[in-house]
Amino acid sequence: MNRRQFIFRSLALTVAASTGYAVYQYQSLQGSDNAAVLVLDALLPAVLMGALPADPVSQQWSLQQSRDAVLDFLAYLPQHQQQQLDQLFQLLQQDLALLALTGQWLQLADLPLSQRLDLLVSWRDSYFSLLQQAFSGLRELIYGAFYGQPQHWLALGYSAPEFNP
Amino acid sequence: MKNLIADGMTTGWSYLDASTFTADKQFEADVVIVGSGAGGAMAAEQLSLAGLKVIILEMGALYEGKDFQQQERWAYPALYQDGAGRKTLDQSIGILQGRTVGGSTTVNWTTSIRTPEKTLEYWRAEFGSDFNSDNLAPYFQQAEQRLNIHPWPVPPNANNDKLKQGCEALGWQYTVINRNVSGCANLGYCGMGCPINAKQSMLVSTIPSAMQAGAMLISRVSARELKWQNGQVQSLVAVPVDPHFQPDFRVKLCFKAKHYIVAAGAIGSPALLLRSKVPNPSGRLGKHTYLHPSVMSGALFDEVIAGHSGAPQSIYSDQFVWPSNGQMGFKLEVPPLHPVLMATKLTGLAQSHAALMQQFNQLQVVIALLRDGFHSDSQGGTVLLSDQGEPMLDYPLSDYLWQGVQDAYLAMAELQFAAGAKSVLPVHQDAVLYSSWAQAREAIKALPLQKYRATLASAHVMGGCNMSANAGKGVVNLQGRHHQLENLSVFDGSVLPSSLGANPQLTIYALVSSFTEKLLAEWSA
Repeated sequence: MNRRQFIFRSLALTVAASTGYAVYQYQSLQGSDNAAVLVLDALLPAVLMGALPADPVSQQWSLQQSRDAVLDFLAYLPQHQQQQLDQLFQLLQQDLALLALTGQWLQLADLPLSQRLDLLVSWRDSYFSLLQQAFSGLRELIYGAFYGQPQHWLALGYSAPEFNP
Repeated sequence: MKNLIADGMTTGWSYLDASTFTADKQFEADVVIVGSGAGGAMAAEQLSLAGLKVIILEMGALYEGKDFQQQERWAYPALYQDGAGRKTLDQSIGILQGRTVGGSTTVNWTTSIRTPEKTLEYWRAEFGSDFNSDNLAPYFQQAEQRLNIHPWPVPPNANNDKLKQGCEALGWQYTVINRNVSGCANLGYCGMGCPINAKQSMLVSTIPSAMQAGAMLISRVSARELKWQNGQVQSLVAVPVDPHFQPDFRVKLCFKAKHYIVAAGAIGSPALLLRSKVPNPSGRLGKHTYLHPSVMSGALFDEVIAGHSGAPQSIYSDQFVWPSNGQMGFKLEVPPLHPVLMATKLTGLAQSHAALMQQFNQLQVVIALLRDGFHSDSQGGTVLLSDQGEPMLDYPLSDYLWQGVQDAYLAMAELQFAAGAKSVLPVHQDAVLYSSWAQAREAIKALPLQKYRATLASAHVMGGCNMSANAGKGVVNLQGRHHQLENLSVFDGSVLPSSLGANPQLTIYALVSSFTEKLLAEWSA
């Protein structure tokens, strides 16, 4: 995405958030100082639908572990890529916030999973290459983090030998 | 089973971890080698055995046999560039490249193939090279002997066997792969570091041998700049890296040597030379970087494939490497199937992705490695530097390449159905599981050939400091010597003037052996 596209998107978001209630919520969602956490928490349950454990406690544990694994992994990327990802998380946070607003959901967590998936698919099919990159990049980070954890291998029938436990 | 280097250190081998340094340091040697992979380590052994004082610098960490954990979540951040998350600039191609002592040889899948004669022929015609299969044969033999490279005698695992069966059914060419292993237990975890020292990587062969002969190994160090003047490199400046392998500029290390060998891989070597602003009259430094861009095709079988188990690569097919119609050729191989590698590469989202993963053990995957660099519409990528001086590879995707991608999807699907697949999934965002070859053929022809839609990956980075007889058409000469700086050599995959159409480790071993031999001959004269 170039600068003009970025400005256009930001403007569109601001206009869309122009009712009083909406502005209030938009600002509160904007206020999170960790966009990565917010975006990942919103997307993980959608991307991992069908793969997460059924029982709520294990599911919550899985989601947290996967989010933390993504965040831990980011530090291994080169600085310029980390900076791009930071910007991307900010931008996606706006997208998610807008989606929550237009549906009048009070919390991002209330946003239905199907809508989050639709949003992801819209990034995948977007004309903006930055959003296409966001789709494939986030998808890769999330699936890498989830399937890196041995507790998620049971469903795959996969096990790894332990020569050096 | 031993940790060869750790054990050697108890007998006085010289090893330093630069991340423990708290003050600036200076080092002197006859030869400083940047990189400990296929190129750097091969040279290090020969130079050390010849009695020269050698220092080997490696950006990655030292891990060996007993350290390796057979888990991708450990191996990728510990052993690969950017945690195995390295990408081209527009993020369209994922790049698997080692970053550890032993370089990519520590994590490769052991496939060892001599340089195809047609590739050598292309270099002779276009770059004035004098290499042919005959004059390289002694160097191939030397490396094959040194690293116990031999045809894999064990029956292929089911993942490779399907490649073989498909070729047999269709009358296509296939070959049993030569592997650099000794006492291999057929585990399938080569990509995470061999836990039993069976893989004859640089980690268990040339590096211990060089250290036994007195070479010093320094890990976790990033070479930043070659200082040069009057056609001579004067010194090399380096810094330690932090626990996430990011350069830490608080400590400065200075290396002085008679000769400098850059062997940091085909992204790292051009980056170091670009940062150093070395003379570049040909304009080719950091240009013409090749990847063997690869596409994948998944297939579901009724029987168990368990593609994680057994030698990862034991069969390849060269049926389509040199097509007569001038299209981009491709080599057919299979990858090892481990959860992270597959989950991140396979397409689908939410339930559709989960459903595919639940059939993990019935999944068979073929990859097609496209032979880039032999055509005017396939001139490779360009290494650029970020604001922080780190390399970024810009690799444009041409229509010529996309045509090769479509041909490859078709060939892979045809092969998998011929091998008995019940359904085939070209790994592309717009593809679904197809249940017959006829259905797949029509669907593949309609798939949009665009970046981000097709999953593209590379495990072979080549070029960027290409060799050429003529200084106007290359960065180094046919002995790997820099055309302008007298005491600088580049000894790694970055000297290759095109891709290979074959996995590169054996080519690098052979070329670097020949380069090193000539260097030693010159010095003894």
